[in-house]
Amino acid sequence: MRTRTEDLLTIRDGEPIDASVHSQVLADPEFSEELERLRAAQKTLQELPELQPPPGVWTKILAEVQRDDRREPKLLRHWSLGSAIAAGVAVLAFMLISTDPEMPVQIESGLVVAAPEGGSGVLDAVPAEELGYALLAAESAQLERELNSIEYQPSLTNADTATIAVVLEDQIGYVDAQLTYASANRLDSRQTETLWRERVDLMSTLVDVRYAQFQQVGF
Amino acid sequence: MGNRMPQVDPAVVAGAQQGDAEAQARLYEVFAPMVYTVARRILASAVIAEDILQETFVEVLQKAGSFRGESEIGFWIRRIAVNKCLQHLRSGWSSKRVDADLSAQRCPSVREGRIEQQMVLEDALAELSETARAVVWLHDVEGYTHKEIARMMGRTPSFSKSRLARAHERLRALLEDDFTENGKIVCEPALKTC
Repeated sequence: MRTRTEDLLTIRDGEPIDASVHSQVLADPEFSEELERLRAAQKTLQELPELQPPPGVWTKILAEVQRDDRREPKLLRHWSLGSAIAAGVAVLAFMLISTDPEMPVQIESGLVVAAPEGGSGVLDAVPAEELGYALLAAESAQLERELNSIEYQPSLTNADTATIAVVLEDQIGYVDAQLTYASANRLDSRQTETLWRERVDLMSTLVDVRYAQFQQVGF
Repeated sequence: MGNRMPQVDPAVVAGAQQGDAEAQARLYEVFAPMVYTVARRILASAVIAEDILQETFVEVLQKAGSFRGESEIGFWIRRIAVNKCLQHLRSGWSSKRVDADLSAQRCPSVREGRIEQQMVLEDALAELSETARAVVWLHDVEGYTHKEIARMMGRTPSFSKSRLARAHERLRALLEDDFTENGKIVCEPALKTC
């Protein structure tokens, strides 16, 4: 029975078939009738009416696309956990090697710089010579907000990643401490900018590590 | 309907590729019914079909720039939709989730002529297994070859052929159940139409 239906469908669809089978089907009224039934079934299927989607789907699609667009920079950060750890280690190693000997070292644990909320308004009154690190400060604040938006579960991350994240946070705290006392220590704009740049690099790496952690937990 | 692919002005395609909101909306307006119908027929669920429609157009908008115009954009969109339907079937989430709305609230009194015949066929289609329904729709309506279906499903062309044959046998049995000798339709328990 199955072979017969397959043969009939092969004939119906005009596909190559053994000539003897073809002639046998055409000669048998029962087969011919079944062939017609299969043709009619296909025709009826093809004539089924098109269905209209429910209203409001387009709005949802646009919202989803916009959400994905906003997520895009984060997805570019979509590193594997290994890459994030490697990047974290690299940044820390670089910082240890490249610490400016002229830079005052003043570790004040627990001190943090209140990062500006970002946006052009913050930069409006900034003197030209300070614009470089003001931009970096704004970028740093943006990264801070991004970091806060990541929903990860620290209890489920592995020890290596957690260690990297803690070290990065310590380093950020260290940089923040130096920035807090930047004027007291008479740091010039170049030195302040270097500190902000380091903060941005550290924050960026920390965000990557957190994303990697989040993705590992999420998937 | 499968062979009647909706047409759209090439300027609309170009506009959508460049992110023009009006062109994107037009693209949706033209192709959404086709995508929704394919998804609804294959998956037999209005809720899942809506999800597929949404996912398909999110991908269309995001990847419009990569559409190279080697075929009509409708075929490209349909391919995305079909792949999403098949992914959904593979995921196992759709198992046995068939909407009542395809067959609900239909009594013999409202079935007349051609519409009646279509309703009966819709009901029978919804009774098929997911894979069988997908093969029937993709082959008999959308015009995919067994080779193409096999490639999309990760199976062989023989699998597609035998599924199609079995599906038609099942359809025949279901449709025979649904008709009396007088040609009037009765509500068979198997179809749960009333």
